[in-house]
Amino acid sequence: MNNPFSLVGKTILVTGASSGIGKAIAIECSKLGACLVITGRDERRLHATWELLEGKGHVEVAGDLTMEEEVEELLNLLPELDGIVHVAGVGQSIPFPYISKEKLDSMFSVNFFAPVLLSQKMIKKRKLRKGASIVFISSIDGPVTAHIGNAIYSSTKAALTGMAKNMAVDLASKRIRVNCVLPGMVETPLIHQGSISEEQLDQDKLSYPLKRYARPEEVAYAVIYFLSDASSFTTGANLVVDGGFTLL
Amino acid sequence: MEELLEKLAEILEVDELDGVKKFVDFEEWDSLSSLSVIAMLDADYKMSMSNKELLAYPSINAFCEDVLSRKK
Repeated sequence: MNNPFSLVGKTILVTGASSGIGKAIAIECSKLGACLVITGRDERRLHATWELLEGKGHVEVAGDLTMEEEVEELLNLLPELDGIVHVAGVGQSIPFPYISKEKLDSMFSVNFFAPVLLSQKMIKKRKLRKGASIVFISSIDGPVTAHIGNAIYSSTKAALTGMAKNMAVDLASKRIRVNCVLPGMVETPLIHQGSISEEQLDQDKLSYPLKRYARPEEVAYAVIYFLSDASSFTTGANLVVDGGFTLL
Repeated sequence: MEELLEKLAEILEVDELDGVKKFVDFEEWDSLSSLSVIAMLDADYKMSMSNKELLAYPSINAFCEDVLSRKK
């Protein structure tokens, strides 16, 4: 029986695969038969992800996607792809009175310019097959919600969803689909870095109807829908994965 | 010290700051206040601090003394 969610025969690039959501996406895609090219800045942690991938033939390329030379290097190594998942991103809580051009430039560089320009270069260099799928990891923050101190982060995520809709239109003639996954809070190392206390996190979970944060693989499953043939008629969509948070 | 106390008073939304108090003793203290103090330290004192470290100070005075001694 044909499984429309299968990724067998598909080659997928996942950025930000050294940890958290990117790592989970790469691993879950491998379980569904995809051949992965994974990238991230931390070589050691990227290799740890590679070791956990099921199947063979996966490739790891360490690099910083905000550096033009490293992007060129990655592009030269890439085979033709059936999908890209843009996960690499940073978050920092900065209340609006304390934002600066430097902070804006820095977060937009990683969260917005890097994935957008990488996608554009891949299309120009014909690295994406017809019918390929581009997925951006956005957030509920920005497109739907706001949280204290998240002005810059939210803006980068809202910019991604706006860009994705337009990419969907401009790339439709090549049958390349572009979609976004919008998670709420996800249980990864990023949220335990210290700007929000553990007590505050426990309190926050109660405001989710499902009373917890997402597991990284639950975000991965949404990505797999967009990468697979099951979403062949879905483009320009935003899929919220937030345990019902935005309902309240 | 004066400058730092003024910045804190602005964040805590008080006219005068009682340096003997802890951050959490202030009525207006919430997650925005703690993020603002952390952001202010980064922007004006080139110093990073976690929320946990911030709350560990026994008083505002102790916090100020430590920040000023660490200031680059």
